Amino acid sequence: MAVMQGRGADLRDQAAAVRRAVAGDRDAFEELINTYHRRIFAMVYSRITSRMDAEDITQEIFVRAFQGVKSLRDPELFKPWLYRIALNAVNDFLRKKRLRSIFTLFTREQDHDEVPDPTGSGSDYLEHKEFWARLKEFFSRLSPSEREAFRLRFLDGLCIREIAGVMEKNESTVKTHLYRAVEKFRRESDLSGLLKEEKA
Amino acid sequence: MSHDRRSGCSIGRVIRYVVDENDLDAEQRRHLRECPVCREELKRLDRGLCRLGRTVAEHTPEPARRPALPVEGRALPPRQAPLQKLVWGTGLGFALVMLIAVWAVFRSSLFPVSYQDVAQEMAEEEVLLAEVLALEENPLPDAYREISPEETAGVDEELFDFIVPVEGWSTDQESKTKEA
Repeated sequence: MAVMQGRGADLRDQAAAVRRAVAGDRDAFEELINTYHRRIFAMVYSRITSRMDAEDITQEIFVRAFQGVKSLRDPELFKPWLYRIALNAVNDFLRKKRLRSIFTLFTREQDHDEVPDPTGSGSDYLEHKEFWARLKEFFSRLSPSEREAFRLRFLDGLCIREIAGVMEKNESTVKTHLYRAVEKFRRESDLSGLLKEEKA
Repeated sequence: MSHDRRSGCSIGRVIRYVVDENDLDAEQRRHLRECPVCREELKRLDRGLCRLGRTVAEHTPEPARRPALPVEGRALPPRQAPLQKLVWGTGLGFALVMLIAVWAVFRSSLFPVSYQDVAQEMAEEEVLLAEVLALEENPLPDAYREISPEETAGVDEELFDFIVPVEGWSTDQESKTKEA
């Protein structure tokens, strides 16, 4: 109960911060950065698996949001609006990367972006690399809409209504995408060995 | 898991519950709570998705820096609206097509050909035609013409007659011998 009350207060604070940011309060937007920058960074990182690029894109996302926040009509929609900007920025980045890869096709330039950043020891690094490779493989079996809905729901923790806002689709379409994606996840056995067990 | 359809078990229902529990009516939710098979399946799926979320979080590094807003008072770089981009792109494409069309239509008037060039080209063609005709007459190169059979057929006629005697000649010789 206390947790629920705390969460409710947080949401009220956030809504107030959004309203002040829409009114042009720079400090209020700084508060919103504090609230969301880790989540947005994680969202970007899980899609491009490059720490440096993820940091640059996160920076760009918040600058874009700062530029456009005054045009936000409904402060309640700040979160899906921010994730929409993030998704567009990621898609822009991936599109440019694909274009670059056409030009570097014959130059044997190694694609560093695909290699996740090393964390911890050598074995940790290998595990890290294998995990992202397997996850990428699993996502390649989903359609783009199924993949995006699944990621937003189970990796980024957005609710159906927020996902519908981010993807600019209605809720029942989002549910259909999620239903199909979860069905494929259920049948997926390759990932299970890599997933962390629940701590007792 | 083997779902018994008669007792109302359905994997689709379990997935619908995982996606959005409000999608199921009270009866269906009650079944999921009470049926051990469905409950086990729901638990397994829920646990798998939670583990996935947790593992992704564990494999995501912390950002090294916090995003910074542009310095106050400094003008932000203007953002190009998607519509503006589309207009620019369409305009550029149209201009390019027009340029190609103009070039194709007015090419001859933009880059006129002089009579001197035409005359020179005709003279070159005549020379080439003469060469072709000469080759038709005698396709052999000069070096081979020197050893053609007509000019070097220095056959020794006497030797040839000796080897293959002419009939008339031998009769004459015989009559001469007889007369002698």
